[in-house]
Amino acid sequence: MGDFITNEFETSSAAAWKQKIQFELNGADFNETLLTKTNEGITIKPFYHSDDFVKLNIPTSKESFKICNKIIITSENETNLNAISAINKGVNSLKFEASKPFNPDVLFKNLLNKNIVFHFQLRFISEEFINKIAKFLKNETVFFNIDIIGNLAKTGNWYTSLNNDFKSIENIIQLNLNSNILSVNVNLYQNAGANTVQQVAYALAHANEYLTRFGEKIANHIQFNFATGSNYFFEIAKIRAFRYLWNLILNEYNCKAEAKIFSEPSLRNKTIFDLDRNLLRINTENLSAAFGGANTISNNTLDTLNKVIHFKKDLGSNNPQEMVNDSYFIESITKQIAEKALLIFKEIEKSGGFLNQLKEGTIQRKITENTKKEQVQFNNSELVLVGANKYKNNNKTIDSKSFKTIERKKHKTLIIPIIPKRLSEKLEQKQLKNEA
Amino acid sequence: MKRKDFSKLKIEVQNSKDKHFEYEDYIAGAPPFLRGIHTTMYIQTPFKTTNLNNTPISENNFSEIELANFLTESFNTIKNSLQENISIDKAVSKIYFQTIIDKNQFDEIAKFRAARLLWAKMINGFNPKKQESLALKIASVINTSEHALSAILGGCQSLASNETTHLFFEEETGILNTIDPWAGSTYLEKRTEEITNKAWAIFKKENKLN
Repeated sequence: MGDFITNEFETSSAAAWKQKIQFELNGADFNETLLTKTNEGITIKPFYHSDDFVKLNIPTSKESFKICNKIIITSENETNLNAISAINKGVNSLKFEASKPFNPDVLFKNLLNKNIVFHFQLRFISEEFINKIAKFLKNETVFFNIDIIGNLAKTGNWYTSLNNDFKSIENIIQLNLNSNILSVNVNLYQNAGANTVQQVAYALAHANEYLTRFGEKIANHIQFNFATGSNYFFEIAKIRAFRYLWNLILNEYNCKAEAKIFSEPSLRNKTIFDLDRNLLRINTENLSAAFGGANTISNNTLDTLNKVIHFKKDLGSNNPQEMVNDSYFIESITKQIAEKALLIFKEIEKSGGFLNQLKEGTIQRKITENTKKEQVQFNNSELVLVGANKYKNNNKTIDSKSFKTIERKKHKTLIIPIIPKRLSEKLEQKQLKNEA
Repeated sequence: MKRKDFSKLKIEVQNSKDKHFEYEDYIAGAPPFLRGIHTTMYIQTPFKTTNLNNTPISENNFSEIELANFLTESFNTIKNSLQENISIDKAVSKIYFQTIIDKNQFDEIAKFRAARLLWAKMINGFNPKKQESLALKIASVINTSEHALSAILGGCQSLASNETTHLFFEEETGILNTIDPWAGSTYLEKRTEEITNKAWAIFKKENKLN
C-alpha cells in the first residue's frame, strides 16, 4: 500500500487528533462532552489511536464455538423430540435442565454418537444419578455443571451441608476423573446486577475455591457459565479479560488449562414489553459471546440460534476471537477490566477467599451496590431499555407470561442469597397493575 | 491444599501490536475525515434516521465494484460541475455514498472505511478549499434489523430503515461512545486494505487514470 496514502496525507499523533477534536468542539469541554465513565470506573475515550496501544496476550481457543439449545425436561419423550428437531436445524450442543432424575434411554434416543456436546443443569444433587448418567454417556462430551458454591450463593443454603456437599462432589470427581463435573455459575452474579469487573473477579475467586479444595487437576474440567448482556464491547472484553486472568492464576499452580466458557443471554435487560426487542438483544449478545471467545453459545429459542448458525457459516475459517485482536478500543478495555478484576480477586483472597466473603455477606453487599446504582440509572432513564423506560410502544401487547416472576421465598438461609433481578421488573408490575 | 498467596500477581501489558499496517495511523489519526466527518459527530449531532422510501439503490455483491462505481459516478459529476464553473467544494457538498448493508459486520465496516479513504484521495486531487470536502457522507439502508449494528459501527451519517431497531443499538449497546470502535483489529485493517486496493485499481482502469 505504501505510497498510496503517504504521498498525500500525513500520519498524525493521538495528541494532534485530540487538538483537532477540541477545535470541532468549539469551546465545549473535551472531558465533559466526550468521555464516558462506566460503573466499572472505566473511562471510554471518543477515539483510540495506536499511540496509546496496550494489550494483554489472551489465550485463544482454537476450536470453533458450539451452538447450544437449552431445553427444560418436561417428559423424556417430548424433550427427546425437541432435541432431535434442534439438531436437525443445525444445533450441535444441547443443555438439559432437570428438576428430578430422568430416564436416559428415552431422553437420548437417536442422539448418541453424533458428536453432540451435552450440558446439564440439575436442580438437585445425587451421586448415584450423576454416576449413572456419566456411565451412560461415557463416549460423549458431557458437562454436568455442578456448582455447590453457586447453589449456596443462589439459595443461601448448601444442598445438605458444607461437608456433605464437598464430599459428594469429591466422590463424583473421583469416579469420573475425565468428566467435566464442576462449573462456576458466574451468570448468577451478572443476572443479579454485578458489573463486568465484578463478574470477572468473582468468577476467578469462586473457581479458586475449587482449586484450593481439589487441586489444579480439576482446572481443565470446570466450565464457566457466563451471562452476556448487550453492552457490546464490554461483553467481548469481559470474556477476554477472564481468559487472561484464569491463565495467569493457573500459572501460580504450574498448570495450563483452557477456560471453557459457556454463554447465555442475560436476564437483566429483558422486558415483557416488546418481545421482538428481546430477540434483538439476544442476537447482539450472541455476537459479543462469539467475538469474546465463548466456547458455547446457548439460547432457549431456535429463532435466535438460527442467526448464530448463519453467522458461523459466514465466518468460514475465521476465528471470531482472533478477529478482535489488536483492536485499539477492545484491547484497551480488556486490559482495564483485567487490571481492576485482579485487584478485587486479590482482596478476596487476602481476606480468606470467596466462601468467606459470601458468608460475611461482602460479595452480596458489593453486588447490591452496583445493582442499586444501575436501578437508579434505569429509573432516571440514563440506562435505557427501549420499550420499557424510553420509546414506549403502546400498541404492542405485553407478554407477561414470558418471564416467570423470580421467586423470593422467605425461608431461613445460612447466608444472604444472591437474587437475579431484571431492571424493568418494578416498572412492569406498575404497568400491569394500571392496566388491570 | 493450602490457600495460595496471590498478592504479587501482576498483569503483563504489551505495548506494541503484532502486526502494524503501514496506513493505520492515517486512518486512525487526523485527518479525522477518514473515520467519519467528525469524531464528535454522534455527540454533537445525533445521527439521522429516516423511513425507507422506494428509491432504488443499485445493489452490488462486491464491495470493490460498488466503490469503484461510486467513485466513477462522483468523478464524472464533479468534472461536469467544474466545467460549469462550480467550485469543487460546492460540487461535492451534495454527494453522498448510499449503500445497502447486507453483508457481515467486518465486510461492511471495511467497505465504509475504504470508501472514506478513497474519497479523500480522489477529492484531494481537485485541491478543495474546505477540509470537510474530503469527508464522505455515508447513508446506509438496511433491510433486516441486525444490519443497523454494522451501519452504526461503520460510522454512517444516516440510516434508512422501515423499523426502529436502530434505537436499541443507539440506546443499549454503548457502541456510539467511541468512533470507529473496531479500528486496529488486524483482521479489519487487512480487509480495509484489500477492498481499498481493489476498488482503486478498478476505478483507475475504468477512467484510464494513472
